[in-house]
Amino acid sequence: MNLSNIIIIFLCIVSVGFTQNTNITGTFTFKKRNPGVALLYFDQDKGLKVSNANLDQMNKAFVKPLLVVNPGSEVKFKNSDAVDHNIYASDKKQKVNFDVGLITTGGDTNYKVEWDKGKVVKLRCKIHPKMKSYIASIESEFHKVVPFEKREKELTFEMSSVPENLDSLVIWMPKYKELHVNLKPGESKTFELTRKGKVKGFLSLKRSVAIDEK
Amino acid sequence: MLKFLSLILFLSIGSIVYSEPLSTPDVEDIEYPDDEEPSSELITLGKTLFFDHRLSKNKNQSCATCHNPNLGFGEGVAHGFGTMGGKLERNTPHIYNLAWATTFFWDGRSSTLEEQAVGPIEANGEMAMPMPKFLERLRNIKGYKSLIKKAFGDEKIDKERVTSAIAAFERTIIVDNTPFDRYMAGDLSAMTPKAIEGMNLFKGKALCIQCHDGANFTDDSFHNLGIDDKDLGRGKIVKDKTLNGAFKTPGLRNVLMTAPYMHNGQEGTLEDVIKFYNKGGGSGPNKDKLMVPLNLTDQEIFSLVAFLGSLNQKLEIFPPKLPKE
Ligand code: HEC
Ligand code: HEC
Repeated sequence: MNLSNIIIIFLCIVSVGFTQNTNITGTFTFKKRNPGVALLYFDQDKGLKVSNANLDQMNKAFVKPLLVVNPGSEVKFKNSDAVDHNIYASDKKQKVNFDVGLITTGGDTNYKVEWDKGKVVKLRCKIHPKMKSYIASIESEFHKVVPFEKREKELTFEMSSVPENLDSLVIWMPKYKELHVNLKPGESKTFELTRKGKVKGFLSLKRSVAIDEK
Repeated sequence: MLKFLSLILFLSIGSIVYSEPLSTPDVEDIEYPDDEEPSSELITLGKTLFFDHRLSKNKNQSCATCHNPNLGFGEGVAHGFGTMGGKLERNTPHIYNLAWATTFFWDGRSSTLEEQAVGPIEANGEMAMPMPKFLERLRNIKGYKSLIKKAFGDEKIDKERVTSAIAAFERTIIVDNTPFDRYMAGDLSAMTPKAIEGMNLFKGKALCIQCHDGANFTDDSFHNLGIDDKDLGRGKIVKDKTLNGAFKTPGLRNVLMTAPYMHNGQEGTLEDVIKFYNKGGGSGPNKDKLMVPLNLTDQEIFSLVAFLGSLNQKLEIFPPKLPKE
């Protein structure tokens, strides 16, 4: 190993060791109804390791509006409800179809997520068409699920400890155009949220400059 | 003793199933396609299509023939007839407050009103017009051109436009100002004492709210009441035999006007319906576990009927002027 290689390796270690973190505050505003849930993630990062993904059902609803998993994760669907459920997905566009069959009260069943990263698929119940949730298959440890309350038109959230070297952000919401944006430390930006070409709301993001957390 | 037993029964099966409180529907909760409220021009076009009998194969039947606004948007008979005179397999359901619904048809085979509207137009047993023929018939009625232009900005006629207009009209058929709603809003004299007693039975001993819950008195789900008529209902659609014989829980707003009742129209009056529930439903296989004898007295049955009667509101929906050919 020659000297220049050693120097490069040394520099890499130093720069990784000193990667500093940043915080992001975001505010969603919607003109009318909100989309129920939003997912934000930095797609350059591959550090996500979900080991026991599970999604329960209670009171004729999924307990989470969106579940984040790795591609290849095993998801445990549980039924803690007093009624039977039957989860399925039928997404023609993204070519994801599955049906886990009947899950009776107290039961559970496993399902392996075998679709490509970046896909967010809607889950439904054959017995209760009102129920819905989503599974997002992503690789980023630096992600944020933002659930909205019914009728909420404005919501502020925070995403903390995002490494400064990540700057490519994906913003997903059901039926909205997926946004791929760039946000560097110290920047503030506002994005239009559109559905079928119409602006339905805005997302303002403000990212701090790198802060030394030590 | 009987009272005690039914309390135990209620506690053991009734109370564990989650139900939404009864309430008044809120237009803010309607999920319009793409979150766009329809324009009045689109609604007018939809209403005109809904009432235009010339759009069926024999030019003798519109949506309103079967979903008659004067008969609770139903037909008043157990099994109606199609444009060709054939008998329908199921009872015509009412179409009140479907703006909030998430599943359509007795077996839930459509998930939007737009998608649903294609069904009766094309069905051989109903209007019997394959979509291309239907659109051609529309194009030949000159008066539609201006209606469509007002709604969409140009005169193009296609399936998407037609179904979005019909659905937009259907979403305006709203029952939200009944004696029950006035009572809930604080006018305690809006409901009779009998009806109030019926409401309490509905929410308690009679178990009705276990399935007929929320603002529209439906859980938008499917149940088998033991009606034994070989119709597999939901089971046939989702190919799951645990749902054989299960049908959509109909909303109960304006139910007084929508006789006869059930997917096959087997019950003629509301009293008959409640007597059916009182004996624990029908005797068919695969019955829902909530279908148990209720031990309701005649007075209690009467109270329940009074309560269902307080879910009534007269809607003034008049047939529009049909466009000239
Ligand atoms: C020949 C009688 C007939 C005609 C004409 C007809 N319908 Fe229906 N409609 C029915 C019957 C019967 C059902 C139930 C069928 C089933 O569930 O399998 C139904 C179901 C529906 C439903 C579902 C209601 C619910 O609660 O799920 C809607 C909405 C509806 N029709 C709208 C329309 C529209 C719009 C038209 C005109 C384009 C139309 N119908 C024409 C008889 C008719
Ligand atoms: C297990 C769930 C369940 C319970 C409990 C229940 N219903 Fe129903 N109800 C349904 C379903 C499902 C249908 C349609 C069934 C069919 O046609 O096969 C229905 C139909 C009806 C209808 C006919 C509506 C129409 O338009 O045809 C009325 C009225 C009604 N129920 C009232 C009641 C009352 C009152 C109670 C309490 C005594 C009650 N229900 C309890 C599920 C239920």
